[in-house]
Amino acid sequence: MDTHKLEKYVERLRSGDNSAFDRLYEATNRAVYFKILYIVRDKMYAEDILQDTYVRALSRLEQYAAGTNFAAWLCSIGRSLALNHIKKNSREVFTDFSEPSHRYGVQETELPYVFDVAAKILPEDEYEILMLCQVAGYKRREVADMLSLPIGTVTWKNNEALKKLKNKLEKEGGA
Amino acid sequence: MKDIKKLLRQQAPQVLPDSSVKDNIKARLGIEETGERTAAVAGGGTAALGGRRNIILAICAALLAVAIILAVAIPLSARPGMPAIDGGVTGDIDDKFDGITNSDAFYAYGAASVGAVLSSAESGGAESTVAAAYVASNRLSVTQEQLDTVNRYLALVESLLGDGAITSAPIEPEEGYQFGMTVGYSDLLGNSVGYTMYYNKNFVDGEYDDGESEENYSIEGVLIVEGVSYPVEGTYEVEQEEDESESELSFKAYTSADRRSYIAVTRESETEDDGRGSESEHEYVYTVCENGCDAEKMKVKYESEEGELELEMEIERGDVKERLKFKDETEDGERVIEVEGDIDGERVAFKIYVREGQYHYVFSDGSSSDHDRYDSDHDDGGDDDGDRRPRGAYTAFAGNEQILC
Repeated sequence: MDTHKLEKYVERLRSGDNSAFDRLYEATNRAVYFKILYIVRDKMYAEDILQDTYVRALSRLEQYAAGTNFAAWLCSIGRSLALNHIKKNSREVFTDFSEPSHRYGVQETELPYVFDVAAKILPEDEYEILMLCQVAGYKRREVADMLSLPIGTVTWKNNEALKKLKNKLEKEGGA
Repeated sequence: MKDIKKLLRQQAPQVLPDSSVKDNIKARLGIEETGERTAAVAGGGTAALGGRRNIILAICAALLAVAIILAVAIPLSARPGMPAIDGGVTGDIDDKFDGITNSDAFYAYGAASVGAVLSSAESGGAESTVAAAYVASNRLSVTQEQLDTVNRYLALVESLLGDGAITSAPIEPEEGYQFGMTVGYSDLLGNSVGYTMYYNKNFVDGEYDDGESEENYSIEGVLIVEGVSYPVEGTYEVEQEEDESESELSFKAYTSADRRSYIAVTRESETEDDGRGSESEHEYVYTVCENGCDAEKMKVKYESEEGELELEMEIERGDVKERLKFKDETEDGERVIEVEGDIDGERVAFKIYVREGQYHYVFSDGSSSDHDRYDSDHDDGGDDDGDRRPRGAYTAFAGNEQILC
């Protein structure tokens, strides 16, 4: 869904038309989810924070400045909530932070190995683009629109991420 | 690389959020289930969920689609193709964009569309029909610059929405080039428009590795529009893997002798086959560069929906963004171009009825206005002084003295 259509659904939702929620959610949830997952590295927690993100955002929809990229606004809320979660749990749970697989000591649902490796070795932007292009199934143009990036940048980062992941898995004999 | 992609795709269901998340959000927000339900499809995007009614509608739509395909494909397949530049298949491009499947077709498209913009500019200050309609209707107080924008691109709209194909045919090369090509199309009133291009094609480099390939080509030559010869160059990069391909094409016509001003069109394409069928997406971007600065950028989307063509342009000039949508429709058997968009944040909407020798404009309040199309003989015919060189400064866009970068 292009940003223009997305804005129309935001406007509909803002004016009380709840039927627009489904469209908005389907167009944005995966971008928000992977933004969160990169930080918490746990599916269950990521899903919980995803819920909180939408509830918080849609309860304060009047704070969204129309035309400024709704998906990016949701992502920024999701990111903040994910970081809060990490802070909170780092205070509550004693853990060995030098051990990446237990980075936060609160892992409930283990991610498949390739996803775990991707989150470890890739910078946030490359991880996000890789997930959106290869896992969430968005077209590069849609991802470019969502992240307000040129399509060439998305293509390049997607390819970089794939190369890095391939090299890493080959080194470990996992590919 | 494709192993990694497959691995990620295979394991995606274990990672993607459960559908219960959405239900929980709706429950927490007090949103009731509505009739309009959607679901994320595995390949991204959404799909509507419905009951029996939707199934019936889907069957009707499928039957209609088959009917349209039969109506369109049979006449096309029966039509003899023109020889292409490289000895391949036809050079006809019937739906303007989807038919652009190789570099030669792209360069024909590039020459035709950039030629249309150049030609419009060459007619020098000819008042646009749309501009005239604006003025006549006095509905909007638009600036001359805005009118110029619409004016410039109306020729492009005509080339893309006009009936029939963009055609290309090889001709005897001249001016020391290896290849020659004429490109042509019909504008909205059915007038033939044609340009000539002479060029060289070069294979730049290529890489081949375990079923994956990457090849780069370039062209350089001249495009002759209204007797004026513009230096052109283009690149074509294609990457192919087993189940997907990506390509980037660019075509540039220089509009100043020092080559600091030009009009360029690029296309980025993705074709993916996810096992459920192949899907292609193309984005066309036109850039007008003046004295080394990007003065204007325009994205073009060309969509065909329910038998109606839609051309959407997003134009950026500095901080100004404009959007214009041209819908090709039929109303009571008459050809109508529905125009709507935003110019400087102000909404504009009107209809253009394409009639014999004229455009008939109808505005939202029901008022109307008739205008002749500007009379410009587009056909360069190849008999003009084809060796004329572009002017030192590209005056066609020189309405804008202001440089925006």
